[in-house]
Formats: sequence, structure tokens, C-alpha cells
Amino acid sequence: MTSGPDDRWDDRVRDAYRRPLAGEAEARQRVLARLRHEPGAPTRGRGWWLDPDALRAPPLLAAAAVIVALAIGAWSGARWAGARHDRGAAIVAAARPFRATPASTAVAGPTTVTFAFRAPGASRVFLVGDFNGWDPDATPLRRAATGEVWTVDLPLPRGLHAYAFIVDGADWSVDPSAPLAPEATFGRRNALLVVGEGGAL
Amino acid sequence: MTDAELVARVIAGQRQAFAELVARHHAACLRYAAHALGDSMEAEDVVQETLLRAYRSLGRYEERQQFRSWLFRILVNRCRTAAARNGARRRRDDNAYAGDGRAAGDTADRIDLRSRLARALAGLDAPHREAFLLKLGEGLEYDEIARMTGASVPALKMRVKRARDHVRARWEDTGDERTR
Amino acid sequence: MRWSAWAFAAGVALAMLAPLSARADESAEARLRARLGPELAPQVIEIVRDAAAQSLPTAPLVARALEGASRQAGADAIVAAVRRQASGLAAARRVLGPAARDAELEAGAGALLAGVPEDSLASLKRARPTGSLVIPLVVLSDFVARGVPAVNASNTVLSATRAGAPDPALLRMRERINERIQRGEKPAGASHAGLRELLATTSPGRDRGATRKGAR
Repeated sequence: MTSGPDDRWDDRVRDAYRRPLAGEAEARQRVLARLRHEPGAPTRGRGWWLDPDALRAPPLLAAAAVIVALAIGAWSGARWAGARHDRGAAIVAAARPFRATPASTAVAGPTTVTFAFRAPGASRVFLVGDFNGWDPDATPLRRAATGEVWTVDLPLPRGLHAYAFIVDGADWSVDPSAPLAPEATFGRRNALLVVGEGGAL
Repeated sequence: MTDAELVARVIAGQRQAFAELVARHHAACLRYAAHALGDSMEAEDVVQETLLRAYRSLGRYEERQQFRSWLFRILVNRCRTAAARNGARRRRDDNAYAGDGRAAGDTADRIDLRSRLARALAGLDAPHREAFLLKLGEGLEYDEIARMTGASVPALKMRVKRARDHVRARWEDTGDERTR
Repeated sequence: MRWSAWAFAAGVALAMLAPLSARADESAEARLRARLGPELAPQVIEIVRDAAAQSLPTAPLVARALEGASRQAGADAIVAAVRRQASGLAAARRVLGPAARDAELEAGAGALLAGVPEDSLASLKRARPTGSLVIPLVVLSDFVARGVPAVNASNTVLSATRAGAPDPALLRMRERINERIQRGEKPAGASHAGLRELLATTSPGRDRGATRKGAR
């Protein structure tokens, strides 16, 4: 019913519409990854979808591991974990004792958290996280007397904070023992810190 | 193996059969959603949502239907919901595809929708886009589109006509092939 | 969709707080403009404003954008990550309800985006209707991060929560499961074993026996 040129124009529209979209294959992978977690028909075994993003604690870390105590509930005092990883990654954390409060009471003011990081041979270590806008220059750690452990005390508001450490300006690290963010934003996983959100005790 | 056979396998417990269905239909869903919404990232979310819903409600798929039609019905609805949700908030002037700043250099991991068709669609509202894309893009028959969208055939024909005029006018304006 | 009704109700409820949040928003927007540049900042700001209009917490969105900038991610990746986070927060709000605190929404968003089904979050909410869900959600997210399949991770945290385990117990369970995984156990099996240990401690009268090995 349409004349010649109209038909041709329709064809060009259809061709333009059907041109493959760059990035479609990657989007499809993301769909499949999402579907992997879908419960439903029983699976025949793990990992049959595509490449799972399973985290195994990397055996070698350029800088050592970190832990930050979760300042919640009745959690208090310092914890020391034995050296687990190859690079002598003894994990050091000390949170000021945090008084348990009922869930209904607001926390009065920020809580001071001590971040500690063992990085033998490092020249400088910085802390980045939600609380300082991920500014790589904002929060330097200070080297402690032993020379291997770097620390900083930071008052933090109540809530959930993602964070990481930057060693010598280039190496972004987290302690694989700390609670980890479930997704690798920007290709790297952050650690999570909870301040003042303790619940039922 | 037909789509219907794959569906039967998924229901029987072979989940990996659904991956094959995704492989067959993802691209078509994505191109529809991307053009219907004018936003590649939203399109990806909508398509993902669509495939999830399809997976969860596979029991409701009837073999006599074309799987793609059944899937597209879900997709068209999801796109409508997304468009309605965004319509009030998004700027009316839908120049998102002038390419201004959105794709800064490295787009290797994003869907690239800087095409003259996407630009020419700018300014068309959701019902017109929907009719235009299903008719001229997907090549569906009017009664199929009517079943899918719930609109009457005469209304659809009018929308397609108006949309064609709109797109055609802008098509010539945008000149030669899409810029990279 | 139902969530838009919630968002509307929440938005109306918070209308009175608008002046306060407006001031906070301004400084956040200034930060974004300073760090992201003139092309990228408006896109992120639009997403942040959308979220604010839905009464969702905006701080995590701002933080994500700033993180992306610091990690020198591309503009597209930053926008995608912020948008993704926003949709996660909206979904978490839908599941956890309008009374959920910001930290719960953030933790819930993380879990949902990582593939934990919404039903699991809803069940968790029912298991602990009035207490904070932040720790259970953080523990759940940690399991997913370490390769425990989302369903197993959800079941583990759900069972522990239903058994009345308080937050410190959940955290100890997380550590023990993590230790198992780092020793080489399969994540699913490790989570199962960790749960058994917790349940044995939580209800000392119930001896589940040690005969059954962890899955694989």
C-alpha cells in the first residue's frame, strides 16, 4: 500500500532497529549471573551458570590484612587474630568499648573506631571509605612503634560504612576476614563496618 | 529444539535450558527495551526483570503460543511500568541520546545506543514508541500487537502513523549515520 | 506497582523534613560537582534526587559515586553503579517496609543486588519483626561475598535468626564460617556447619549429634 520510497524508509528503520547493540553480550552475562541465584527448579550442582564471583581469600596479599571490630551491641575490647595469611597478616583491631543500647534508643554522638593495618615495608597507608568521601588523601594512618602496624582513630556516625585501605598510593586492600560487601563495586570488594546498629540482644 | 521444548525442560528441572532461551531472546528484548525507554541502563534492568519474571512464571506459558510473543508481553508491560515511573521525573525533552557526556570514552561494558533511530525517537511518548517499535521494528501484525498491548487496532494504526511522521521528520534532520 | 504507593506515602510523611534534608542535599551536590565534573555530576545528581524523592537514603549513593571517582572508574560505570545502588535501595524499602532504617536499607540493598531473593529478606523481617536487621543482613551479605550460594546463605541466617540468635552470636558464626572457608571448606558446607554450631550453642538441650558431615 505504501509507495516505493516509503517501503525503503521502513526497511532502513527496521535495519537500524535490528542492528546489534554493542554491549549486549555483556548484559546477557549479567542476566545469567543474576539468574544463577534464583531458587526454583533444583540445581544439579553448583556453578553451572557462568563464572561465579566466588571469593577465596587470596593467599598472597601485597599488604597485610586488616580487621575492624564491629562496634555494635555488647561487642567490646580488642581482638587479635592469629597470623593466617602468608605475609604475616596478623589482624589487629581495637574498638573502644561500645555500650549496648536498646534498639529504640538513638546512639548519642559518634563512636570512635580504631582502624589498624599491618603493612610491613609500606611507606604510607591511607583509609578510604563512605565516611570520608573515598578521598585517598583525607585519612592517613600513622605508623605505630613496631613499624609494621599503622593505625588511625576516627569518630564515625551510626550506620553502615564501606571502606578500604590504600598502601603506597596504589594498592587498594581489605582484610578478607572482615565482613565483606556482597558485590564488587568497580571491580573490587570493600569491607563493611557497622557502627551503633546492634539489634536484639 | 523449539522454545516450547526448552521450556518443558526447564520445568522438568533442567535449569540450564533457560540459559539457552536467554541466549535466543535477550538481544531482541534488549533492543526493544532500549529503544522504548531511550535509556540503555534502564533497559538492561527492565530486561533482566522481564527474564526473571518469565523464569518464575514459566508454568503459565502455553505451548501453543510463541515463546517470544509471551515473553514480549511481559517485556512490553515492564517497559510501560518503567516509562510511567520515570515519566514524571524525567525531563520532557528526551535528548538523552544526543550523546552529551553520557558515554565518556570507554563504553566497552555498556550498551551503546547512540543511533539515529534512538535520536529520532526522542520526544515520542511511550504508547507511540511502543506501537512504532512493535510494528516497524519487530514487524508484528496489528492484531498481535493489539493482544499484547490491549489497545484497539484502529488506535494502534493511528499511533504508528503519527510515530512514523515524527520519526521520519527527525530522521532526515539527523543526517548521516550515527556518530561514534 | 505497590512500591510507588509506599514511596508516595513515605514522601508525604517526610515532606515536613524537607528543609533539613535540602540543606544536606546541597552540600552533597556540591561535593559531587567538585569531584565528578560538569558532565558526570548532573547525571548522578539526578539519580540522587530521584532517590531523595522516594525517601531513600542518599548518602550511600553519593558515597558510591565518590568511590568510583577515587577508583578512577569511567563515567558510565559510575552512573551504572549509582543507579544500581538506587534500585537496590528501592527494592530493600519495598521488602523491609517504610520503617526500615537507612543502614538496614543499605545492607538489604547489598544483599538483594548480590542475588539474595526478596522472599529471603521478607522472611528475615518476619523472623525479627522489631529488632534491627543490619547485622543479619551484613552477615548474609558476607556469606554471599565468600561464595556461599544465596539460597544457602539466606537459609543459614534465617534459621539462626529464627532460633533467636542475638547479633554477637551471628557475628561469631560469621567468623567461624569464614575460618572454615579460608581453611578450604566449600562455602555451602561451611555455612551449614557453622549454623549447626550456632544452633547447638543457642539451644543447649538439643543435641544434633556430630554424625552428619558437612555437605561435600
